[in-house]
Amino acid sequence: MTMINTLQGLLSGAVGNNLENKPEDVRAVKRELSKTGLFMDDIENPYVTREMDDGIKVFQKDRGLKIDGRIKPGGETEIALFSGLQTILPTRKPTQADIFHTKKIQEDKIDDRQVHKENLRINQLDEGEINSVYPELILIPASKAFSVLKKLPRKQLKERRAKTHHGIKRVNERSIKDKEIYEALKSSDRLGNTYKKTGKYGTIQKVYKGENGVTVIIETEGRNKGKIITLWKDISSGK
Amino acid sequence: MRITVIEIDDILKKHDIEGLLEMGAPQDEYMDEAQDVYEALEGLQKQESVFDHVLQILTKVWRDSFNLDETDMHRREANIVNCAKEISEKL
Repeated sequence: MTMINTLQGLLSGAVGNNLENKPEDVRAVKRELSKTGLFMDDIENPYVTREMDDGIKVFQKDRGLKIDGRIKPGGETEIALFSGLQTILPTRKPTQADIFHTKKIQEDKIDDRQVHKENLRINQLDEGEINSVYPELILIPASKAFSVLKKLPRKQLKERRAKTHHGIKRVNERSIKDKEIYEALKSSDRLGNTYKKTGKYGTIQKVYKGENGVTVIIETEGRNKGKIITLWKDISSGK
Repeated sequence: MRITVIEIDDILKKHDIEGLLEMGAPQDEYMDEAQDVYEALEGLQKQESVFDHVLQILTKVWRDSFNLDETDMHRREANIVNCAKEISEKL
């Protein structure tokens, strides 16, 4: 288990007497317990020990949790033990950092829903599945459908590309319009300015250098496949 | 808190975790992430475990901003840990 995983408290199985006790989980629990001063033994030992069992029970007792010496993924003891700021300083008042975390988690849930919704629509367009986007067309005679379709923001949507949060922020702060991105992608392909580059962690990224001075970086694999990860406008282009 | 947003940004730029500066992105590429980290660190008191807090905050900011999964985070771990160390040393 990596240091990052450990801090996030992502146990992959239950820990405690006669439970799964995966070595990495046991170490993670010992490490967190040691931070609270309830475990003073070797944290790299991957086996459940009496000291560890005692430490879990004292931790549960101190925090008013059910005292059974068991830590299950997603359970109250795991959350209390791995929740970071609250765990390390269990008796202090919430700091601004705590408040920031709570606020950001709430904001992120809304952001994620909005980004997911927009990306879903864009992906549907990319894959040609536009029927569900315009269910109202079903009630329109075929002769009128095309003219109505033209009035709908289909082109506008087509010009949009899915983006990561970072990409969305860059678009907003650098005031680059969807239309400019669309033109950059098209002109880059037309002029042969599109090339692939291996990113810092081995994934392939496509770099588009548009004739309008906009450079767009798009991830080509993994969970961000097809998404804009960043973009910028070359100020010297004067466009 | 002694560290400023600019100093956090300088650290993020130095480590260029995503490699975007290397690809030619402008120097303000990570300013939003620096601002997020700074806001989260405000009110954090000097304590022994400050590094853990910084690492946790930086991890969350990065994961959310770049839409990364466990594998992605694992690849970036060394860089993120180094950034967190430098930030926590300046707090």
